[in-house]
Amino acid sequence: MNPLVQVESLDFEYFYKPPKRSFGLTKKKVLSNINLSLNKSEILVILGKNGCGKSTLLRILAKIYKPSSGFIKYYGGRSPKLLAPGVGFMDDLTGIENLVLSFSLMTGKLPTQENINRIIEYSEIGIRLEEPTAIYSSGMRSRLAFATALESSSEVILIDEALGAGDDSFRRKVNLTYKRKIEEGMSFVVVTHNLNWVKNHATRVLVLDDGKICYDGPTIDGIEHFCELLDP
Amino acid sequence: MSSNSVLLMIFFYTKMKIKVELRSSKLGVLWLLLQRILFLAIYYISFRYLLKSKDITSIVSCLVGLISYNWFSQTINEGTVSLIGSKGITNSTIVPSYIFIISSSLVCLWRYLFVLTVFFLFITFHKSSDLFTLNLLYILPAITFAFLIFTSVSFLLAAVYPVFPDIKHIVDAFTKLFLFISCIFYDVKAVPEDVQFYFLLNPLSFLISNLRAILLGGEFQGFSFVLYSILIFTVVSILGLFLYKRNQFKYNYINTI
Repeated sequence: MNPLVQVESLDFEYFYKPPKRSFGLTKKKVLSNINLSLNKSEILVILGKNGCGKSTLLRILAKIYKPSSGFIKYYGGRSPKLLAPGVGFMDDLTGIENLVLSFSLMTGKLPTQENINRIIEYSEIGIRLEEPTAIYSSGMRSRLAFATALESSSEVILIDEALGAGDDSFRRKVNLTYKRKIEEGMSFVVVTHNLNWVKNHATRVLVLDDGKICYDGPTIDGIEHFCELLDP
Repeated sequence: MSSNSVLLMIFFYTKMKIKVELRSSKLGVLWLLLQRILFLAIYYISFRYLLKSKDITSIVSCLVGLISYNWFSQTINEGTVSLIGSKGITNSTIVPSYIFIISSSLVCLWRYLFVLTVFFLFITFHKSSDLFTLNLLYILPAITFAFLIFTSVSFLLAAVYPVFPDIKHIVDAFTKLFLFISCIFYDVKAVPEDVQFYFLLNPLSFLISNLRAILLGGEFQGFSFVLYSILIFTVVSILGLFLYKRNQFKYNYINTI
């Protein structure tokens, strides 16, 4: 197996301002002793109760948060990217302006005409791209945001509760895109509560409980483990 | 991330913020112009008719000060909260959060240059001598150094605000204090001679004094203040960078608000 990402002995502490009057910040341990590896063409799903550290782990993998200790090795080209639909979107801007803004914030470069064409085609927005996104329906807005995010993603895509957007046909299209990307050798780390999706798509499941990995293995056993955790 | 990417992000984000500002009202850029003219008219009427000031020069002098003060206070106030304001973006993608401080500063500079242009046109109609002489070039270093210093102060405050939000109250009090110590309602010559130098150490006073010299004639502040401005900018920037580097990974998840 060729790992794309390797996490070793990772800990993470969160800083917060306590409710009582205080000048300093208080630390809270969110993740402890996390060890995992992500292989090529893999869909790794992270399951766990709310507040157990799933989204935090994704943001650490995306280099948005810095681990308190331990280390992460990235093999291959670009580092993982969080699929973040609608980053930087401003309601008064048109669809095309939001597309360019969001793409440039996510990649640090302006989209090429090819990128723009692909996003337009994928989002199915058509001529309404010249209208401000404030008057888009929520489905249209999500489609544009999603298409832009997908276009600016790297070979490891991190998804935090944002598996799909828009109507059923668009969701099916997105699922097909995931499949195609897997075949191309890309990998996914997904945080979701949609167990049906997990059953159908995940290649491996990791269950987090109170900031610690309590299961890492095959999908079906992972779902069972998670259900037991919810309803002991 | 390469410096080209950073510059591109700053430029594009600022451009989009200005577009949004222009589109936020039905009259767009026209309203922005009207707003500035109304602002100037209110001060003009207040000084001329309510305070019965007959001295047009002193009215213009005050207006120059007020316009520049507004720039200063907007840059500081908007810059201080710019890091927290961009949390939605910095929490979702790897983007250097300082671009939002610089962008906020640039938007304020754009507003200032806009109002200053309107003001210059307004003055041209009231002034017999030609405003557009070589002296006008003095405005460039004055605005550039004021911009650099305001931005560096914003940067320092923005770096502190997420970990110590109480600083916003101190900033509010200090920006009000600057209304009185920045030679806005009076000329620096009205200040006792032995403390004039200290008044001019304030970059806002330096900017206002030079603007007055351009518009109303008078003595330009020496370029020793340029050296002083560079010193202030360097010290504040280093301190800001130190605090920013120390706290930058906390900004995304800190629950300041």
